[in-house]
Amino acid sequence: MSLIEVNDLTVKFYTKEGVVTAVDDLSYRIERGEKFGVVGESGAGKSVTALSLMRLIESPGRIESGEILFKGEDLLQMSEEELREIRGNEIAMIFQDAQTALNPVYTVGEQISEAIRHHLDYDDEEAKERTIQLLDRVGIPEAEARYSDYPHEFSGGMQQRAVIAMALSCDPDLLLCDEPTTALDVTIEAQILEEIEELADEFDTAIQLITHDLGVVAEVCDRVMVMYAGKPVEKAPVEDLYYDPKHPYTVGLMSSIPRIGDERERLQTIPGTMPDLVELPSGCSFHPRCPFAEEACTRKEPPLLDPETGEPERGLESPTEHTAACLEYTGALKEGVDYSVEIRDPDADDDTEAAVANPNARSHRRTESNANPESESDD
Amino acid sequence: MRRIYESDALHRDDEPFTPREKDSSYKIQAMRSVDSTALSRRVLPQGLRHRAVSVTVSTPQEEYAVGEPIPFRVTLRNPLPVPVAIPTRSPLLWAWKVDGFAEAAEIQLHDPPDEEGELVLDRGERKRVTKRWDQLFRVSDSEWEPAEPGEHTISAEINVEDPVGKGLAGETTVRIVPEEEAERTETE
Repeated sequence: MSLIEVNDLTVKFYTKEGVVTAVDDLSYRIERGEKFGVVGESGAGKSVTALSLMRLIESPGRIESGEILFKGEDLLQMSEEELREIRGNEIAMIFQDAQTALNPVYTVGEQISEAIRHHLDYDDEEAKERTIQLLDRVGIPEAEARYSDYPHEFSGGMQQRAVIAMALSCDPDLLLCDEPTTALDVTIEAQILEEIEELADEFDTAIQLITHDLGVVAEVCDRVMVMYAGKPVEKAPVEDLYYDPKHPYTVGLMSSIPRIGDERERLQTIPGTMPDLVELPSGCSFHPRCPFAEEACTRKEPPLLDPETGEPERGLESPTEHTAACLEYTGALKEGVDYSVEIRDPDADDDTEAAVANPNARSHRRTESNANPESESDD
Repeated sequence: MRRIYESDALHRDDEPFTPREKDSSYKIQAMRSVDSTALSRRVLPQGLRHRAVSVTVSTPQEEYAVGEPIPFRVTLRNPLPVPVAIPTRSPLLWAWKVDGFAEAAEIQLHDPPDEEGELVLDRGERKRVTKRWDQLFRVSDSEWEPAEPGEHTISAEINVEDPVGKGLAGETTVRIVPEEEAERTETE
């Protein structure tokens, strides 16, 4: 049994402008101790997905359908009290904006020890001791003195670390990290990521890491899901995704990573922006921005498919499965997608390069376009 | 004191950003110290709320060539000087339809929870929402089909029982014409 299984989750916000479909028919699973990455642009539904796992979606948002099975029990059917036992204890979350996550009228130490007292039945002294240990562990200097500081006395990075300490306080089974290191500088980012990884290995904690930093995903995660406009467009083990991306959106994301020594004058981007979730384009939501889009893409929305066989994903994916939601793999595209993946240094994940080589020259078919023959000889 | 728009010093034309004529006959007022939405909810009779609020749908053109996206604007307007709250059947406050199909889909797209919602329009509020119909009908969860040339009705209605009877619906008709015909009309 997986630690958490999300089946056909749909989250909608009923606003005056219309219905915002933030998450549409999303399914995935995370095993115990697994590090699962969720990537995508802003507005892809990553944070809403994480918040729904904690049932923290606020009005006008609604979880319209689906189930979230945590250790076999559906979180959506639980009472508020039952859920409170799980929140912070078995499933913890590192929120994106630490300043908002912390309560300004309580000291940082008190906020962390409250969770420890509530969930672990520690007395005041023990809880304080553990909090100080945690603060020290996430790299807050003079943790004992800082225990009784208020959030405004902490810098942005320290607030973020305090939130991380809070999430780690009860040794959760699942840790939802919503861009945990966005506010931190790179040295602290590396430390924190290392800390999170260590925790995952030590206590068999599963991690759902939400980020737009593809480098972080490559470093930390085992498996990745790429989201676009509330839907998953590609799911794959991290190596497959970087060395052999199958969805044009993933290819676009990869090629927009700036690289040292790149001779291009301008950075490569994916043209356009994420569509308005109130009004999604017909067919494949990515078609208005896709360099390979054809008329069929405006008429048919592809499900997640196995790129080799073209078979739709059956139930929940196996940990090694690679699926992508592109019509190319149903054989419905006349011209096909054409890009090449250039691998510069096979020893380091970060140096993997995926570039849209020439979207106009569509002579290659999918099987030939996976890897550049020249780069293979370099390996 | 003479106001600038009362003098003839300003040259008015249709360019954007030029000030509009001031309409002094209509002035929005409300008691700021009172929660006027809650008050209006208790005091204003349902019938009056329905009569006051209007829904209109408009498109920039009446004719569009096949395949050309059709932009349209839905305007919900409350001309009253007090806020108006209209209870709706579900949290889905209003919907747009093409030829009677909600959001141009032959399938049910939304399954809102079984509870009431409320559309609140502030005093004098005019809520404008711009949408686009790509001339496609969604025929299944994953498939779309193009609309036939001819007349199509784009409508919008507030999610209440019998919106047309209560005057909480609006519609407009557009014609989809084959490309050659559209070009001919343009040259004429």
